[in-house]
Amino acid sequence: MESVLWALNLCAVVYLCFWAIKEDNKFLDKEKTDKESREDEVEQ
Amino acid sequence: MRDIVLILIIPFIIYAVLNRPFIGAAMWLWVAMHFPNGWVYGFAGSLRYNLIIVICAFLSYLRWKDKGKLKVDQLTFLIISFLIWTFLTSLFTISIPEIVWSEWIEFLKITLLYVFAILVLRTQLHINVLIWALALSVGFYGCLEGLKYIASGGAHRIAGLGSHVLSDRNELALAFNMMLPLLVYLIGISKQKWMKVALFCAIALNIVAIVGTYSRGGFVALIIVGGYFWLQSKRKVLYSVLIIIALFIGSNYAPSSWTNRMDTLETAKTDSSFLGRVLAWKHAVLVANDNIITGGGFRAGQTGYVWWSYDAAGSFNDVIDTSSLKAVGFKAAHSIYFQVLGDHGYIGLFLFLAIIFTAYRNAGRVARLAKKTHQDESIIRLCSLIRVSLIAFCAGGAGVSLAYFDMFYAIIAVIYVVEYKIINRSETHILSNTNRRAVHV
Repeated sequence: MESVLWALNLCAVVYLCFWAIKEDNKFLDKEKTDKESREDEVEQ
Repeated sequence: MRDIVLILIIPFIIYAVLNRPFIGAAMWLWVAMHFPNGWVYGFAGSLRYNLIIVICAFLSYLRWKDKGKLKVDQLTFLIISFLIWTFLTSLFTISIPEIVWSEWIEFLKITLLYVFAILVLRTQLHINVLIWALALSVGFYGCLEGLKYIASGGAHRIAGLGSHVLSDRNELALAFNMMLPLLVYLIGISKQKWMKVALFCAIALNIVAIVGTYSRGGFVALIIVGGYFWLQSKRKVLYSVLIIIALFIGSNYAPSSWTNRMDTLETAKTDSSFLGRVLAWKHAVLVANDNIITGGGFRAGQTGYVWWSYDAAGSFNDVIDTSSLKAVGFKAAHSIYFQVLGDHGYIGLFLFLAIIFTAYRNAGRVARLAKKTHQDESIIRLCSLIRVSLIAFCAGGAGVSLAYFDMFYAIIAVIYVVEYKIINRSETHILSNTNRRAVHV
C-alpha cells in the first residue's frame, strides 16, 4: 500500500511539472499579447 | 519495483527542469525534502538525485534568455553574511576540519537554493509550484505516517528516513508544523472542491503525524500554530467547539504512552530527556564563551574531545541542576539557537536571529504592501501564513538541531519573490498604464 501511494506521489510530481509548464506558457503568451497591444496603442 | 518506478519517473522531471528554471528550484527543494534514495532499496538508491537536479537546474538557468539582475535586499545580505561568517568559523574550528567543512558545504548548498530561488521565481505560479513541491514531499510524508499511525491504532512510532535531514522524529514534527500553514494556503488557491477536501485531509493527517511523533516540542509548536490560527480566524466560537471535540476524542483514544510522554512537560526539570538537552545547551554556551568570536565550528559539540573539554554538567547549576549527568556523552545541540551559538559564536547567533527577525518583519510588511497595492487576496494571505510557518520554526526549533534547514530558507525566498518580483512587477505595469493614458491625453 505504501509503495502504491509513493508511486502516485511521484506521478503527482510529474503532473505538477508539466502543468506548471503549460500554465507558464499561458502566462508568457498573455504577457506578450499585453506588451504588443501596449506598443500598438503608443504607436497610434 | 520501486527502483524501476523511480528510474522511469526521473527523466520526466529532468525534462521539465531543463525546460523551466523555476521548476528546477521546486524540484531541487522536492528532492532535498523527499529524499528519493531513502525510498528505494536497489540500484536506484546509489544515484545522486540532488546533484542531477541541481546540475539540470543550473543548465536550465544558463540557457534562459530572460535573466534578471539579483537585487540584494537586507534579508539576502544577512543570509550571505551568515554564510561568509560560517566560512570563517569553519577556518578557525576547534573540531575536526573534515567534518566541519562537509557541514559547511551542506549549508552552502542550502544558501545556493535560496539564491537560485530568488533569481528564477517571478510569478505567483512559480511560488505555487514551489509550495506544491513541499506539499508533495514533507506533506506527503506526514499524510503517509499519519495514516500508518491511525491504522496501527497509535502503535506505529513515526520517524524520518535514515540519513535524511529529517531522520529524527522531533525534526520531522517541526517540518510538519511548518507545513500546516502552507497547506492552508494551498486550500485557498485550489479551485476544485475535491482538491480542497484532499488538502483538508492532508492537514488532519499531518496533525495526527505530529502527535504520532511523540515529540513534546512538536506538540507545543502545534498548540502555538493552532493558537495563532485561532486568533486570526473570524469563526472563533466554531473553532473553539471543534477544538473541544478534538480534545475529547483525542484524550479518549490517545495511547497512554503518548499522554504519559506529554505529562512529562510538567515535570521537565526532573525528566532525563529534557535535562540531557539542557546539558547540550550549557555545553554550547561554554564553547561560545571559550571561543568568543568564532564559536566551535559546525557540530563542534558532537565531537568527543570537544565535548569532554568542557564541564557542562557542573556549570550553570543555579539555573537548572544537571550535576547528575556528568557521565553523559556528547550529543547534538537540540536547539536551533544553541546550535548556532555553539557552532558560530555570539556573532553567528546575532546574524541567525537577525535573519529570522527580518524575515518575520518582511513578511508582515510585504502583506501590508500587497494590501496597499491591491494585490490578489491569496498573496496577502500567503505572507500572513508564511509568518505562521516562521513562528512554527522558532517555537519547534527551540528543541531540535535544525538551524540549517532547506525548508526555512525556501520559505524566506518566497517573501523576497512576492516583494521584488510580484508587487514590483504589478507596480511597473500600473505605472506604464498611467504613462500610456498620459500620452493619450
